[in-house]
Amino acid sequence: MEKAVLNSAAEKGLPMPFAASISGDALASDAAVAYREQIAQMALVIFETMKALGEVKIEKIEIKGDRKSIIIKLIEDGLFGTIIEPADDITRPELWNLLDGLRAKPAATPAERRVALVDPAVLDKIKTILGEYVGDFTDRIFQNQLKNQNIKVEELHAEDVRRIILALSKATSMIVGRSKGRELSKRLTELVK
Amino acid sequence: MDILDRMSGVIGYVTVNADDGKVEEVKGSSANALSDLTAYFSSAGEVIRNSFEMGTLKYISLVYGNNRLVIVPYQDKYLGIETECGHDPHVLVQQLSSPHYAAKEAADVPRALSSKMAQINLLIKEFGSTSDMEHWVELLNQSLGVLGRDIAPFLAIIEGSLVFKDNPPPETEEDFSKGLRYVVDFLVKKAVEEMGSSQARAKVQNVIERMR
Repeated sequence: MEKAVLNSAAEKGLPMPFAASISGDALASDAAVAYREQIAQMALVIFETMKALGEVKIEKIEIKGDRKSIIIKLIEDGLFGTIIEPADDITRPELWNLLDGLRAKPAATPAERRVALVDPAVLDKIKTILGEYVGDFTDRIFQNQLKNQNIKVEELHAEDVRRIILALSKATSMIVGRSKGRELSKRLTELVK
Repeated sequence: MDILDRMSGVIGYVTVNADDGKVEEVKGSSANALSDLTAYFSSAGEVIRNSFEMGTLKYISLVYGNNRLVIVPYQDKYLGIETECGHDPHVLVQQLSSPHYAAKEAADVPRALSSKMAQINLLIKEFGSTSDMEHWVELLNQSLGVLGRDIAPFLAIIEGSLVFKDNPPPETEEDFSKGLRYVVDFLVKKAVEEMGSSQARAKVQNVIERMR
């Protein structure tokens, strides 16, 4: 992402836009330049925290103080957001929409870095194996976990498959016990290797 | 935190000690690691708040998949409250101090749902009577988390009994009934596994007799 993109977003109404990559580079719009160091530190704290948590894919973060607030969207290789000062009681939805606009900029996702789609047929194979463990509950568990993980079948990525395997294994552990959940996880991981 | 048990849309919640990050209470039917999320992000949020001089922390909100976790400082603790992602965190924080929720009664739901709910409560009492009631309440929570995704925000377990916090939308009654049926099937299946088919069958029969 370029600084000009952030400045353009500021002109459209994002108060103090910024971006940071997972590798530690921070970029601030002119309006947020005074906070460049804090933005880099915040990105580090967020990425380290998410690394410690592992399996949960966090998509949005909002930190609300009584003087300032920060809203952040997370993408595969970084984050972008804005500082809001003074903090509103209710974060205006249009600010989130403007962040979505930043995400859509071609500069943010160069073609060569786009992640390839996975054949959705793999989900049928996963469901068949799941059925061996949870029987009559298969459809219910499978659909619930797809919804929980917000997975779009028509736009399936390898990361989505990894998440659905984790979620199904966890759900199976709760229904038929941990050892079965681990066994399922192992079989499904082998399947998609 | 009785108020959270009765609050609309709450799937589950945890309380974490603000000083040492120790988890003090976990309730509800969330299938996510609420304790870890709350402990780690309350600490990260405080670092960020200090660094940006944001003033007093009102809340931290995390959205993942179809859910939202709102972390709120509360006395010397952090509450981590999971809802569906459409829930406004600002409204949730306001509700926390609302006397309406403290006094709220269980919802009066259609008969098809209330009888399923009664059946589940009787099964829990019957299965838990010879072993461990807490174990069966925990299994109920788990089944709601895994099988009752859409119904869980409308339900709560208060003093060991399942109750409806709110009326589900009328058009979803059939889906809710189906969700509760899955929970019944799961509990019966667990009973067969844990106490054998003849004892489980006798207990299910007792429940059927009591429901007549």
